[in-house]
Amino acid sequence: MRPISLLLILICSLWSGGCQQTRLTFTQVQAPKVPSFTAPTNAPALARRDFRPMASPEVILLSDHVSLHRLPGTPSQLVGIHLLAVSPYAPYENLDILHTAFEQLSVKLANHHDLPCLEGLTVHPSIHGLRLSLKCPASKLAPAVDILAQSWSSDAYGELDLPRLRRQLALDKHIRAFNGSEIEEVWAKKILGGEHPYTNALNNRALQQSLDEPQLLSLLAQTKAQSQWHLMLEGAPQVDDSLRERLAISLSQLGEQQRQTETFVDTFRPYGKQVFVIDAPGTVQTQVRIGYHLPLGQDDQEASAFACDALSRWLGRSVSGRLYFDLREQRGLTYGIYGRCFNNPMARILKYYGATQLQHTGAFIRGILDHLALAADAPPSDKELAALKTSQFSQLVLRLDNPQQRVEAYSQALARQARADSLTARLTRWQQLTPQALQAMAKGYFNQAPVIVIRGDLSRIRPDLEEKLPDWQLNVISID
Amino acid sequence: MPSPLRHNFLLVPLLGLLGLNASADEPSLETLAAPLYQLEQQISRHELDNGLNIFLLPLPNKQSVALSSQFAVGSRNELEGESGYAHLFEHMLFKGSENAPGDSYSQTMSAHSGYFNASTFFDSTNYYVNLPSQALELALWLESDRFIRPRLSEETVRNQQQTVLEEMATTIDNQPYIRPAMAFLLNQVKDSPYDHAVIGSVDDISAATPASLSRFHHDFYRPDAMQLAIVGDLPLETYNWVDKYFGAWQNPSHPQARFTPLEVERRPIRGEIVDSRGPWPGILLAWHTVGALHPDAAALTLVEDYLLQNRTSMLERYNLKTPETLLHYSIPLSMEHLGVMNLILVPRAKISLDDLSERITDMVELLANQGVTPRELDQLKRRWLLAHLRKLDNNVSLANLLGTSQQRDRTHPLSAPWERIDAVTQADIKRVTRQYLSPGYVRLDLLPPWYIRWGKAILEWLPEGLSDSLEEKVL
Repeated sequence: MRPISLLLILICSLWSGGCQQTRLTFTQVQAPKVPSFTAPTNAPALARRDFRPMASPEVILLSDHVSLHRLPGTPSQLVGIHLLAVSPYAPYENLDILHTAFEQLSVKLANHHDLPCLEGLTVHPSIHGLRLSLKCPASKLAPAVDILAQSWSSDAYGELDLPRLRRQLALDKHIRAFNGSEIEEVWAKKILGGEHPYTNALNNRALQQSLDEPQLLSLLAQTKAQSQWHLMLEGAPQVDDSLRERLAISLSQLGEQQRQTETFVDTFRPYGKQVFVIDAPGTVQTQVRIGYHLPLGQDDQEASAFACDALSRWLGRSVSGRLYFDLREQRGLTYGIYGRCFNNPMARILKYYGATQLQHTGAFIRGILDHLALAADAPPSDKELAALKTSQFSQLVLRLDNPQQRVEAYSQALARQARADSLTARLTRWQQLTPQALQAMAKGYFNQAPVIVIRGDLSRIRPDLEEKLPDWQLNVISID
Repeated sequence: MPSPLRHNFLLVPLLGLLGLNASADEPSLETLAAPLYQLEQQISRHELDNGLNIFLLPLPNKQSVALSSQFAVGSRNELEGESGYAHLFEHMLFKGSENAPGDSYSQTMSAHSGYFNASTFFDSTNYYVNLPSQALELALWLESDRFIRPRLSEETVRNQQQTVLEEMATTIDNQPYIRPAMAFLLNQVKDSPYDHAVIGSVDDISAATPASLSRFHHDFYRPDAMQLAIVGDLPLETYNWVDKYFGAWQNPSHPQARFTPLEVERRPIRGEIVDSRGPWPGILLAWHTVGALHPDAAALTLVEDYLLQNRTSMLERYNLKTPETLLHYSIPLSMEHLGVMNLILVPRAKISLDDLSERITDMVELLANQGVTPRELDQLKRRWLLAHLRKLDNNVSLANLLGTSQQRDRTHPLSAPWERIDAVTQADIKRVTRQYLSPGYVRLDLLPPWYIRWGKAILEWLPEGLSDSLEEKVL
């Protein structure tokens, strides 16, 4: 049997037109099912342990514009060195260009410096922060910090191969089209709105194509000018005066922040019942993004952020989220569907995302919409809410025990300028959450039409979409 | 077409120029490796009467534990008509057991963990869980119940068949080239236990039944094929719990399947595939190296690093000076009895697939003839060691490092792999390059539809400046 099927697949690949146009039998819609949360019988009881929150990191001012944060060490006894730039008041512009430049620079640095730990240099960009991270032997702490600081110097960028950088930026766009991740760009544009500062902060094609040295150096200078600087050290030795002085000198070249506050008015308007479609002929799956642009909640930021987090987890926390349980575990419509809240200083986005084979497209999207409606209509059971609360507590413990997640969470808190007690406040909200309060949150957001963006072979899925989503308008998006 | 000799002539000074000087205050390799030995001192090793191997590693200042359960069963154990069973069965172990029926395993783990999953490979299947330590006994109870007493139904098998087919669509069929390239590579080891894809065929997966999958479980899930590692905040009762929940598990009467190293013929092999969805040509090169248990495996790991893997690899250094690829990446595959060094290259407009192939041949020959300097060897070992050390810093990766350790490393699961790397000599590097890489490689050309191929051929013939400029415009 195997050789025959492989041959068929091979022939399909060579003559894709003929094989792929086989008429699809579309999957039927089913009413949403929710998990029953039956506990295993005779299971051992949980031990009683008191949760120990992480001690606040020691913070040392190295200079007027650089702080040093000391975090716990790790079993490797290597020192984790993280140089973090944050811009809490305005998004970084064209960070995609700078990120690609950093990636190229990292290869150059590894080849030009006699420091083997540079092989592990990683770059972690976000819309309000950029972190360079390394793990090195303690004896190499000072030279490693030196190199990270120099990574921000115009001298370093002056040596980059600019045609190569332009090529890489252009290629990245094609790779996104090739692997389907171009949907994220369209999704961001639609969910944020065309005028949002985040929308225009990335994907500046004109600049990417024309990028020359003055433009790159200007971008670097602008990014530095709007940055606050933090050096985070995991497992560092005691910072004595001489080390402090040396680190301060290394980092002095980063310069001072020139405070930049972007005035921002959120002008996002919902689209009504429209499905934005990226037509991708020949693809065998449809990628789906569904979500909401939530108000930032100027009056009660914490409540709004909590609702976003709670709703993303209720329906989309992997295996026990309602969507995964029903659409994957019960109906086999997807390999995975997840939810996430993107809580940034200038936008709060609730997103559910997954992919499905062509024949399931209509049933899959309808299934998500039906779950959103169900969440607004009825509260969860006590057991379902209890499982959700337990998972929140577990996530917290695991995050504190995982150095990478710990550093990332700490970096995000610095970028958001989160209050020191915000974690405790969030846990209190989880403890106090009732089924009715969770339903009320869903009702508040899910009763309006969500933003929907999909990417798939439109000619093949259109009949299914029209049948399963009769009151939704298909709006085909062209990608430049 | 440039000759290999001319390229060697160009490569030697070029790579020499990029050479680095030794640093005086770099810690010795022995000092750098010390945490491996220190951590190893904290490990307690046990073997239950039924043959189940256990590593327990308590770590201070933790509130969570990570469990890694490794089974010596993978796609190589599958019989004709059962391809994909190891992977499909892995899915089934999340779908109910005697005391945790239906979705209660996933729901309970999800509440207490949120970080649990599994993976299936040619030789093995691995399950891991990360959760607060207060739930460790519950986790051991649940793990033992599903490993020993899984419950499969028509409904859950049908559901997971669908899920695996979705996984296949996501990871294989939705991307150009992958399905036929995979078939071509597997065909190189046809009639061996490694001759079919881990995910299996649509036909075999669709034909699986609760009975056939239960038979697979009976044959291959057994305590003497399991290695369990637990890392983190370990309560004093940890070993007793493992014994309590796994100790009564009996092995079946038949012995475990045994496999022998593959005899592979190392010679140039060439093929091509055309995919109408392909956006641009590429080339896949694959060398048959050796299995993970082979005495030359460590030397070949460093050779792969030196040639292809690191930011300081020969390929990366060459590309820094003479950018000839739009992208390249290397994926080494290490099975117990088979190793494959894979390289995928996507050429720039002016560079042909033949040019790229020759360039790689030249690099291999240069290494085979000249080897590495003592300092380069030291740097290779140092980079390997730093990467190995970084794995200690995450509970799950540390548990997996222990859980997947080889039987011969049972007493020194962290340091023994390092000692094999540390023992590699300059002569080893030259010898294994000549023995395993010089004889030739499998070359598979990944070709887009004819109009893109023709356009690309024209770009190769144009003067370099013009080709570059058109490339930039096209991109």
